Amino acid sequence: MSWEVMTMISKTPFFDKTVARQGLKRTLPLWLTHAVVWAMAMPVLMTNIYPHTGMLGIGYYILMTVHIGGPLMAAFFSMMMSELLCNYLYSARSVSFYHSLPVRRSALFRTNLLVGLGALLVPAALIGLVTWLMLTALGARDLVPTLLRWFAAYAEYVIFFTGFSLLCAHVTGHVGIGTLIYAILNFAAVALELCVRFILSMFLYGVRVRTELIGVTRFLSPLVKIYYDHGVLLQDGARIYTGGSYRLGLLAAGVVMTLLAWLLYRVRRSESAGEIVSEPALRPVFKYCMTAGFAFIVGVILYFITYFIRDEQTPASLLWFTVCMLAGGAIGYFVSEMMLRKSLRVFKRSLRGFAAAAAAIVLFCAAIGFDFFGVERRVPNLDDIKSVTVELYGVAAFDTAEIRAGDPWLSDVTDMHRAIIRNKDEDRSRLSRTEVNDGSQSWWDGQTVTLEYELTNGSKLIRAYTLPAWHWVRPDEDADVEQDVSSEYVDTVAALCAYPEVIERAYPMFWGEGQWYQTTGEVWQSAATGDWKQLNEEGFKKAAEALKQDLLEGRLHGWRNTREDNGDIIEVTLGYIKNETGREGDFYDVHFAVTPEAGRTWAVLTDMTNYCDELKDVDLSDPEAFGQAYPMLAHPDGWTCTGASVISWKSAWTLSESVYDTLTEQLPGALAQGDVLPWDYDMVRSEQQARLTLTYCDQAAQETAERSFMIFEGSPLWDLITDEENIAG
Amino acid sequence: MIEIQDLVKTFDGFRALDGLTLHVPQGGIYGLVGPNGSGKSTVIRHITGIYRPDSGSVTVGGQPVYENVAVKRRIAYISDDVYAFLSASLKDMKEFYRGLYPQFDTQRYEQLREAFPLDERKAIRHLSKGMQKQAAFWLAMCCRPDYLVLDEPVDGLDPVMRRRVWGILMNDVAERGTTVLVSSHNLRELEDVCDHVGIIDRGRVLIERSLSELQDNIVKLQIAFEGEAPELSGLDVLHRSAAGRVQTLIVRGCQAEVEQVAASLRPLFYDLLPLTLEEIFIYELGGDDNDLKNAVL
Repeated sequence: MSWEVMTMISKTPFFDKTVARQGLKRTLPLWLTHAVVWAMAMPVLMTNIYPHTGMLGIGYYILMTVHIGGPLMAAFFSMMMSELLCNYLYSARSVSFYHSLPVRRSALFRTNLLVGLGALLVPAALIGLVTWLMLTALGARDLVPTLLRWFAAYAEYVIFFTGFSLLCAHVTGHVGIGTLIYAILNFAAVALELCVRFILSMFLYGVRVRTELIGVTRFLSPLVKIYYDHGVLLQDGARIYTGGSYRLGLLAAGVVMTLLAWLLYRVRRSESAGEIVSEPALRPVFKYCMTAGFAFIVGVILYFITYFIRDEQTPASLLWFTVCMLAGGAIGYFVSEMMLRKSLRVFKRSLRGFAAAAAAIVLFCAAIGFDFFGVERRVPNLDDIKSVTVELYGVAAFDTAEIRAGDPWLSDVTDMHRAIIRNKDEDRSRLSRTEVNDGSQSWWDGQTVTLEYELTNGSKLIRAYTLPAWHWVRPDEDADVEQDVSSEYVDTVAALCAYPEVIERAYPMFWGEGQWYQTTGEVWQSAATGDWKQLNEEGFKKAAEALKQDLLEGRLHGWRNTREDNGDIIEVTLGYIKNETGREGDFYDVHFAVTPEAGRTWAVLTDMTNYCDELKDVDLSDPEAFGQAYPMLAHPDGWTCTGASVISWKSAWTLSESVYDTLTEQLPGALAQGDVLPWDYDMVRSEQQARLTLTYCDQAAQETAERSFMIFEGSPLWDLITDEENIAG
Repeated sequence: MIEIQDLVKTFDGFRALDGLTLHVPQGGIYGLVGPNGSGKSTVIRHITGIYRPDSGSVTVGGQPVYENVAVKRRIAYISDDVYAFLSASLKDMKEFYRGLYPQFDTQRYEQLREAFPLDERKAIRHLSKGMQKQAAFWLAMCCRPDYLVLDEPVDGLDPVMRRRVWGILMNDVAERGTTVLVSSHNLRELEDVCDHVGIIDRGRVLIERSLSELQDNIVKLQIAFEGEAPELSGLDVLHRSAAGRVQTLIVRGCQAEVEQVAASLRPLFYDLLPLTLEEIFIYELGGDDNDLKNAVL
């Protein structure tokens, strides 16, 4: 390019309104659809749900629309918009037309960018305004901050995805390829991490495939991170959409990518229309990314379908895996060459390049197979450990222990970890063989031991091993199988779990008075009814206290699966919400298999007075049956309501005394009309239902009783129990 | 005036233009001819600012054209393959051009309606190829360009429409001094309208002359003698062929000089014919006949 051209000063305006008008016209179906979708999600839906949610609820739903719908809408419509506005670059005819027009490329780029952003954001802003007007007309107040948060978050998403998709659109000169690159890059980090994990888990002892993605992967995959890590919370009486700093980062990234797209456009040659990669300097990047991508994905799939089923970790399997990776890499490399050169005759000319790629693949496989980086051998130093959670789990057992820095027994964990690595071959051998001696058989069954270290540098190290757990013996063919001894690993975990501090960490709900809100207690009694039964509130408390004492006194361990072998077993599950009020907290379940050895708990669970009354099959139309089942409602004179609590889909709360009488008065009618149902011991399964539990006291008869009901959204009682004014805590 | 100096353009290692130099005089019609793949369209895409030169310069009216809006507003370009927006009608495209070319002449648009019998509301993409060309002409002429660059402009037009289009174009040249550069394979037609011709091959201009200069400098002589043909001394014969007694010679020199020499040889008959553009094109590009090229140059 001549110096004159490079230094020429533009007299062209920043923005060309003729090109803009044409761009808006061309993309009209797209931005109109976008506007309609938002119109449905915001003013239409919000005005419909506002009467049911009130002020706090509507703020939640407004922000949830941008949390749930915003990233997807922005990702899809920005991509489509970029594709439409840039598609003139993909045909020699159209690019010649555009570039022959008296419009500078800079003005063309800026105009298209502003058209794309404007066509998405201006309607969104108007929809926000309409939503505010309509909700204000319905009586809502102070919605402006929430709607501004809604718009700001959406604008950040749109700017990011527009920049991202524009960059992808300018990398290529071929229609559809930009969209494909964009779609792949959105999830490339996730796919790569899962592939690498899968490969590591195949060849490195103790490394397992996990579904929880690491922070870098989430960071590089905005669509994943937003849904993983962000949400709408209640803070200081207002709804907050979390992840603000990440969204600002997205905004900045969007601007940077837009600038990169502009730089690519500046150097772009019109004749690159039809090319897979528009800029020659980027062609090797495309080629080697394709090679790596195919090596990982196709290689892993090939290995999986041809070899993985044998579940072997031998030199032969590593060699075959390398062959699969090479095959995948070869496909990726030569396909990309064909795409770039637009010819099938690429093999001779590109063999040297593939040799380099193949060497890298072989090195990668060798690094994993021979553990060049010491991943398999790694055991953290004691000083580097903040905490470690040890779990023993499998079909037969579950034990968990959280050990923290400073615990004297922390070294027991690292010693066990080293022993596991040291005994790798021996343990595998123990698990894989059955010993037969004079008609008797013996074998080890395997359980998984997981070690999850939280290190002082903030990172995590997770290892999971399938280890020999219990030794089983069948003395002769006719004899029953007997459990013989447990392995050193099971013994170590059991010892760790028995420390009082560890028990308290494992079951904090038994100690955290006021911080844990109890929900439901379910008991399965094989010896009694063979059915699940619900603990009443008193029974729940008694069971929790008894469990705590039995654990501390060593009479109760983590869960053991003996249900099918032993009738003397009661399984109990206690549900909690970690929050003193029960509102908006996290749900936890603790589960135990209780034997008569755990005497205190056994006594509570076998005492039938601790269970809810059986009221499922009461005929409500029969006044006599109703009176017997619900005396406090049928003849309320002697009864006094002493408490009312609600468990809803994701929260729980207590009601203030002021509504006790109203509830007692309205319940019989609501039951008769079917607006309210007697609780059938089922869980609350949707946002549209809640369980109301009332406790009553008949002082004259010195009697207390508890009754629960399932209440559905839309009924008058629903409004009563969800009204903020009636909530005590 | 359009000037190209030492223009080089390479596509993936293929040198499409190899130091091409070309001068299109102001206010004339310049025909750019060359075989397929010679680089004609590449030259045109540089002149219209579509391509960025690898090296060399392309100026229009003394100004570099690439990314120069002021210059590009003075250029109208009709490509061999007309482009229109999806579902855009002639009216839509008129509005588009009107927004981009300040000198767009609406009155002329109305005047030309009679010349181009097209449905202005129909999507251009749905028109036939010839009709699309008409639409492109209509719009280009309304831009009132100082420079008109045409790539195979009449391809697809019927003979009547061709004549009409050339008429409008030549009228514009005569009235407004528009400079026209035309690339075409229809040499017969170019011969009628061009006053300058450039022959291009393998990315270089081989010949660039006014048409009359080109035709005056080389003649075709058909000559027959009663007996054996004498020595043709005094004639710079560049190509010879014979059919019976009649010899056809391509001879360098102006017509009067060649005629004088031919007459002095006392042939049975002789006839002097100017070479057509097509013949020049064929002799120039037809093989190893470098003598002819030397003669013309």
